[in-house]
Amino acid sequence: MKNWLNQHALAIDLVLQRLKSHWLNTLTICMVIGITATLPGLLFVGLDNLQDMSRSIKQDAQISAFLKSSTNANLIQRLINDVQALPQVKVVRYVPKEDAIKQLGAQFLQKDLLVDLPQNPLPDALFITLTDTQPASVKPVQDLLQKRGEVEELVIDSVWIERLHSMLVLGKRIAIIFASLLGIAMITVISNTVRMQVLTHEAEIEVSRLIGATHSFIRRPFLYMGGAYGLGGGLIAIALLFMIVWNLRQPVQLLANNYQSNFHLVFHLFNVGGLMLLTTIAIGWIAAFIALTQKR
Amino acid sequence: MIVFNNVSMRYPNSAHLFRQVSFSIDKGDFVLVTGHSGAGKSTLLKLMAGIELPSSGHILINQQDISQLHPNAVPYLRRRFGLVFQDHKLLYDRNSFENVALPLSIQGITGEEAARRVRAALDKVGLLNKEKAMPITLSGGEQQRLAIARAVVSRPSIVIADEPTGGLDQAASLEIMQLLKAFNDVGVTVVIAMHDVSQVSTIAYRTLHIDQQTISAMPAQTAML
Repeated sequence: MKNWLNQHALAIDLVLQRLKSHWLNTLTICMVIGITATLPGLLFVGLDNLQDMSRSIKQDAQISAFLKSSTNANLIQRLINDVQALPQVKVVRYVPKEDAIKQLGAQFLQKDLLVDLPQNPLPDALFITLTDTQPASVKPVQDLLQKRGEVEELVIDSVWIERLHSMLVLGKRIAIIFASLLGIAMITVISNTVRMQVLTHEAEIEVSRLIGATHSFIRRPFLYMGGAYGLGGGLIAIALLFMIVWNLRQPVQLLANNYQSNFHLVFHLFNVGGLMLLTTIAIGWIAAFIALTQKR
Repeated sequence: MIVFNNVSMRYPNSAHLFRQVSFSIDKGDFVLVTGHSGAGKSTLLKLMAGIELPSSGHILINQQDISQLHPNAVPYLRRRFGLVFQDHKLLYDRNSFENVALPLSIQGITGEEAARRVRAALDKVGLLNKEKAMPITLSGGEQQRLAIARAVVSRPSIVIADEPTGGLDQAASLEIMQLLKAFNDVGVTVVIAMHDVSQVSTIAYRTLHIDQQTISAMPAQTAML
């Protein structure tokens, strides 16, 4: 066990020496990997933020049902009871037209609008909050309200959220395709570099093999080398992403404020950063493995 | 210790190097493998070390048939041997100490233990004062002594040397042979391929002579220069 650990420690030491002795080459390769990983990384950070935003919006998703002016209190109560009975419904809030005009006046003009208007133009309304915004949950509520004669107009606030979800799914798919293509490019770069290293150390490999080195012993430093390139590239990508997000944070927040949103751009270091680091290390390792397989 | 049993060897698309040869080498033997150039001396040593596999027959090392070994077990077999090559096969980007330490690294021996054994090996071959020297700065004889230090550092029971005096002058050759004999005197089995037996001085040795696809084993004799 101790000897096995020693062999790993030796391989790591050897890799660090080689990386250090060709530090400019190492830095160049890591930069190439880092910049290549930053591009899909940026897409993922954007999607991650949009997803966060959609999650927070989802809680407020609701259907607004504006009632006909002829609807009396009994019919309204019956409608509320029927809607409330549906399992997809979380909360039903009834806002009489008198309250609505008062709220409107107080919120935007700080005065009673009824003073200036001959009659209240607003309808009574039901605001129905759903348990979720999936089409399967929206449909029964929508059907029930459309069948009822008391409802003048329906506004389904979750439709645009659905669209956003669809766009997020599409965006994620595009990001994965984009990341895969760039991943292949990274594998090619690292694989070629490791292959060059293998050719450079051919004499050492031959001697080691002759005096009893196992395949694992010979391959280990090259696999670690690939992993190290991936690690270096991943760290550079994280640093670049961090700087980009930090740079964009203020303009995005200003834009969001204009839309009465408290949305702010974040970079989840442990989720997105960690995943990115693991991915680049794995890519480096796989690339080295491919290079060694070609060698054999 | 080493037993060849009806071993034949031929490379693809070429004639047989040997046919059905049988011989044995005992523990502590000092054996010279002789024969003209191209007779198959190096191949015989490669067969012993498991670098090549025979076309037919059995090779037993300590009663273990190496042709039956799983490929993954071959590196562990090779660790039992100390190999010395005519072209030294030193790593020219590493210093003397690091070259000698290589077999120990392969076995996972590092730190103080490795340093102690490397220095002991360098001391035995008279290169302790050159542990930091790069091989390129050493003479031919010194490079071969360095290769011997690397071969013996892991304390093998068998040292196999392929033309260890090739390209060296008479004095350097004598030094190398005396060095190998010194290891033999402490119980290490030594097998050397060489075409010029005149370089062997005051050494009791056995000979395996390869000629026309056969190997003739000659009894122990002592050479005097």
